[in-house]
Amino acid sequence: MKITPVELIKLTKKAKNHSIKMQNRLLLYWAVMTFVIFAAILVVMSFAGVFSNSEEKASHLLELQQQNTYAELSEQFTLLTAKGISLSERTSEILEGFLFTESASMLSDNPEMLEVIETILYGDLDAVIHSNPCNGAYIIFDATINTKIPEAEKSRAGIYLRLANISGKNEISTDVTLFRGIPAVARKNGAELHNRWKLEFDISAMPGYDSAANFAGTRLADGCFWTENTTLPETWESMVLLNTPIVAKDGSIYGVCGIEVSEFYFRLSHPAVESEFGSMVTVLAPIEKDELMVSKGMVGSSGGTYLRDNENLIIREGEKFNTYIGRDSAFIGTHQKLDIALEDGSAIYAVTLLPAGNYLREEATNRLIWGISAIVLFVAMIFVSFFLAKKFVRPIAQSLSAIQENKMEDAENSGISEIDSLLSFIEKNRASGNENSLPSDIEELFTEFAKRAESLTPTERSIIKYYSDGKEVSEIPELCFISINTVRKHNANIYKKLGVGSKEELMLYVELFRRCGRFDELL
Amino acid sequence: MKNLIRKQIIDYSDEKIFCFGIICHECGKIRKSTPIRFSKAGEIPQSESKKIIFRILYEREHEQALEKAVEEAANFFNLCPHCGKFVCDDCFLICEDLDVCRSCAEDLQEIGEPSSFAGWISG
Repeated sequence: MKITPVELIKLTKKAKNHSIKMQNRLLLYWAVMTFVIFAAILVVMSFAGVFSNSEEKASHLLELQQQNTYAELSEQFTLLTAKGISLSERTSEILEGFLFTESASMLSDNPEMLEVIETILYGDLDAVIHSNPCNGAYIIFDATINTKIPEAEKSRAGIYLRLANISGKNEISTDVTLFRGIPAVARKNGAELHNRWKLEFDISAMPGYDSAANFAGTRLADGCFWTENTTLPETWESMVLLNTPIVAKDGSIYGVCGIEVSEFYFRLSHPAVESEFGSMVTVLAPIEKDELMVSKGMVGSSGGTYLRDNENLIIREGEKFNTYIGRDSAFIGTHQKLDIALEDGSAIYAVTLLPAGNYLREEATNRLIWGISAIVLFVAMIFVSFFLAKKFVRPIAQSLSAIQENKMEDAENSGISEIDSLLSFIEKNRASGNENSLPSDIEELFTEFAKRAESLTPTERSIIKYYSDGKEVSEIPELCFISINTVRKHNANIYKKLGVGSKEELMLYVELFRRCGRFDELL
Repeated sequence: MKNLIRKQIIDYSDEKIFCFGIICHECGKIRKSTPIRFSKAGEIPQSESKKIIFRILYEREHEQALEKAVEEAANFFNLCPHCGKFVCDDCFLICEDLDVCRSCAEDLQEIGEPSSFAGWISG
């Protein structure tokens, strides 16, 4: 069924004329007021950051990334530690094949044997660096090719293979270079010499060598440790080394073997993970007191995050994540202890860091958005309140004005049932009041009586006043200091002037005038 | 009013009759109250105690007669609001604006009629 525009207008008018209960209007008004209060609370809460979920999001991101970081680092360094021990055992086994019960010093001044042994071990080292997440591996024998040279005390023979072309910009290459060792071994295996190649190791420059070489324990795992971040001898590269003693069956030390993880390699293998708060950086470092010793650890690729690898960060523990504060930078993040140790036995931690600036900006933006939204809601609610209040009061004001101007019959429907009822009641009452008004002839009688009363003398008026106050005739002499006869004479005059026949009739008029509020006309 | 009359009243009573009178200060006429006979008038007390009783009775009835005389006088006497004289109804004129005695009406050039002209009106 189609509704024509005319019908629609009629329906709208009818709907407008339909009265709504004042209670319902008030209910609507209070509902809006409640919304206003709610919006105001929202404003306060928004600026207080209650609704900003940045903290929650950042915490969730960090938690997820930390799980990955911990898993990767734990797997990598546990694997490398195991490989280091395995390499030590394998080297020990080979050396025993050559030396039997002799010590490694037997290899000193014996380049041929050293070449043979290094050739054999080359394959093991090559396998280690190609099949494990590291970029170098080495074996140092407690022997030197030439004991007669002045540096023979700190010079040790051995072999050190490193992956070639590891840099922050390049992909990891599978080419191997010989960093330390006999060149003939490199030639035989098709490897190039490192640009900082030397024949032997300078053990004074090899971090952790002394500790490993002086290992006196029985369990090889006890003598296995990682070094702090240090510069590779005679290069500009930073790295951490896993040192493992090579122990003979009799407990003597053949030398030290190890694995290298350079900072570049670490960066390439632990790229920054982008998030809405910026790049999340992986850090492997020890913690001393409340300080994350970044300078002693390794930093993964930082992406857009500026993190100096020589700057230590003070840790502030937080409820959902920690804050790491540097000299001129701050990060949020979390850390977990890894099951590997440094030379001095201190623990190493897997850390995930996120620039605090980005997070704080995001947090502030979120708060601002929430705050502005809440303010907009608040302002809108205020306008709605204003509009409703006006709409609520207008019909009441119009109705009051109609009552004052006595135009109730012309007044439009107020739209409030109670007000409409009141108007109708007043109108009806007024109409009935008119019905009860004095008939015109009675009014004339009143007027005439009042006119006659104008001829009364002051004494007569005062006597009427006494009567109206309920005094009797016998009381008048006392009050007026006149005789009763004089009073009677006055009464006679009053009755005559007013045209009444008795005091009762006079009192009837007095009472009527009093009830009609016209008593003053008699006095 | 009654107090004023009481002050003005003159006692004309004797052993047998109680009677009181008031002089109109305007006309000088004395208006006497209705005489009241003493209940023991004519009786001679036989003893001293009877004498005392008769005397007490006399005083009581005298007081009652005085009260009646005052009430009676109140029917006829008025106080002139101008000169303060105590005048009878014949000498008190009901004027247009203020009721005064004849002398005052004359002085004030007010015209009125004596209140004694009034007929008995119920009420």
